[in-house]
Amino acid sequence: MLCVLTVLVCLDVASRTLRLFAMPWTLDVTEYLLYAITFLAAPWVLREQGHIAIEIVVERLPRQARSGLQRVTDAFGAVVCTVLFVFACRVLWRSYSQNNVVHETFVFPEWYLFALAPPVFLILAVEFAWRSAKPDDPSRAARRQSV
Amino acid sequence: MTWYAILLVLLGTLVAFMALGLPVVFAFFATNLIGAFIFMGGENGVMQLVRNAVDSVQNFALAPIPLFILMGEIMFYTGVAARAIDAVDKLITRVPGRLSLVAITGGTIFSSLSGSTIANTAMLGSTLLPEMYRRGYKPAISIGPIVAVGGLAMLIPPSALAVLLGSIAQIPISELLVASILPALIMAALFFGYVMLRCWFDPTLAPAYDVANLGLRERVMPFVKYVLPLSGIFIVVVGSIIGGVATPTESAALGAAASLVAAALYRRLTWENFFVSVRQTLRFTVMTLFIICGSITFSQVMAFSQASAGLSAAVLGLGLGKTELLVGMLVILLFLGCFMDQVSMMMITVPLFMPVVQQLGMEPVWFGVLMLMILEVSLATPPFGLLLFVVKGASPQSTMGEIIGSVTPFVLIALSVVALLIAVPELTLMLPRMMSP
Repeated sequence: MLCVLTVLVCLDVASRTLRLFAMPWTLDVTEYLLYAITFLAAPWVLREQGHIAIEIVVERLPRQARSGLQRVTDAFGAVVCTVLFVFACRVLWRSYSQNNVVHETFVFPEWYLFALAPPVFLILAVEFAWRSAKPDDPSRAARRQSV
Repeated sequence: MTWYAILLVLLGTLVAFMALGLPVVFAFFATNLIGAFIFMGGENGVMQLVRNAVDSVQNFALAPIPLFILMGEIMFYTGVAARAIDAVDKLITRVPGRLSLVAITGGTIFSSLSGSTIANTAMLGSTLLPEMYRRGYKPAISIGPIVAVGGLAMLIPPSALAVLLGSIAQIPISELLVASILPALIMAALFFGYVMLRCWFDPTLAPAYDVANLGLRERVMPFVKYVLPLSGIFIVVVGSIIGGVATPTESAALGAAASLVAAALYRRLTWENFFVSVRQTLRFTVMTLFIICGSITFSQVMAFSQASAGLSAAVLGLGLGKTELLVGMLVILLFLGCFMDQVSMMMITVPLFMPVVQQLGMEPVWFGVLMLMILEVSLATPPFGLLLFVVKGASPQSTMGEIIGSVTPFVLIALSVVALLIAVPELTLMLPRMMSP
């Protein structure tokens, strides 16, 4: 998707500068791609320990306390993502039931856009819950070292 | 509840979640869930939060972020940047602190090709630090320049964080990108001068050694072959913005494509390093953009709760002058930078600072550049300065005390440039005024 985004915008500039053909849909497609890239890859980045965390306090704790705190914060992360999942489902349902429509270059039901959020928040919640259950996963520690 | 109690509770909750080690984006989500529920109409407020999260990254202005990062990663992982550094290494001879000067020159060049400070510092650290240690360079003159110049990638276009700041603070992105160039070059020149002078007065810091006796052609040709063509990429990116030919997103896409073509022409592009570049780009992009999803509602919560309006009125009611308020805001940023990453700092302070900036009638581009400068300095301030850890990774034998000590003079130089820009705003605003309307 990242490569498609690059190619699309380059093609748009080239076609406009050389007056070959018009690609007025580039702007909208780029925006949807940015959204899709961010949401689809967010659980992967969480699994890879890639989301920024401030560990200045945590890393000064004794090993056992750190492990316990990690378990609590991961469980809390699971709760936050579960709440977001529930409300994302409600937003999706409301948009679907109200038949909201997006009127941009493309015209389509608005709920298409919201359909991505609930599964992503659910996967994030599951990942947090999994981490909370297995806080001392050695592969996880190795990934943290490599960040 | 008074506005300052609300502000304290909201900021306190956010900082507490972050301090507990919850990833920043989820600390924002958690705080905003509470804030939206209380101040934005209960469940409807939380539903608005979800809508905001989905809408926030559907923004064409944010597209340069992945593209600028991709440029740097391609240059880094294909080894094209390392070859450019090697060419600069051959060009600079018989000067005190030669390798440190190579780091500053090479780092500045790479900053014009990369939007990632981490890639810049990691590349300089891994390519030059071992050689510096082998030649007996002291940490004071080896680590400092690398960390200092590594941060320049945040200022010199392509800069992913400048795009982010412009987008969330409603500052014209193209003007912000262009306005950062001159201050960054001033800073690089001062770093260069400082290293030369220190090594001149104390040659033991960087012992002189015999450099291979190459002819003029052998010294200059690598520069012509591996550095000059790359300047074409910088010209494509910045020239298209200044000339009004392309928007920042379009110039970023052209820059990313030009980087790929350059790597291919140098026969350094393989499927493997292309895949690694894209993977790393994806990781940094999602890390940054997802924080926007999580934090976008924070400014709305601040506005609905009257916290930002209350703070703005209170600050303006202090009767302080523009300069004092400006310095106050920059000091707060500097303080936050000791503990926080740059994206979080922006997302917290922009909703609070921008109303004050507008009320005071300050030039937003000027303020944006000053803010970027402080964010750049924050990369090197202990204990959380990100680049300190990056260079520690590249130089495990150095203690954190040595690293901090070596970086401190460069931090002071950077702060003196900030003072200069406050005193002479024209240095910042000159280039944007030359841009085509």
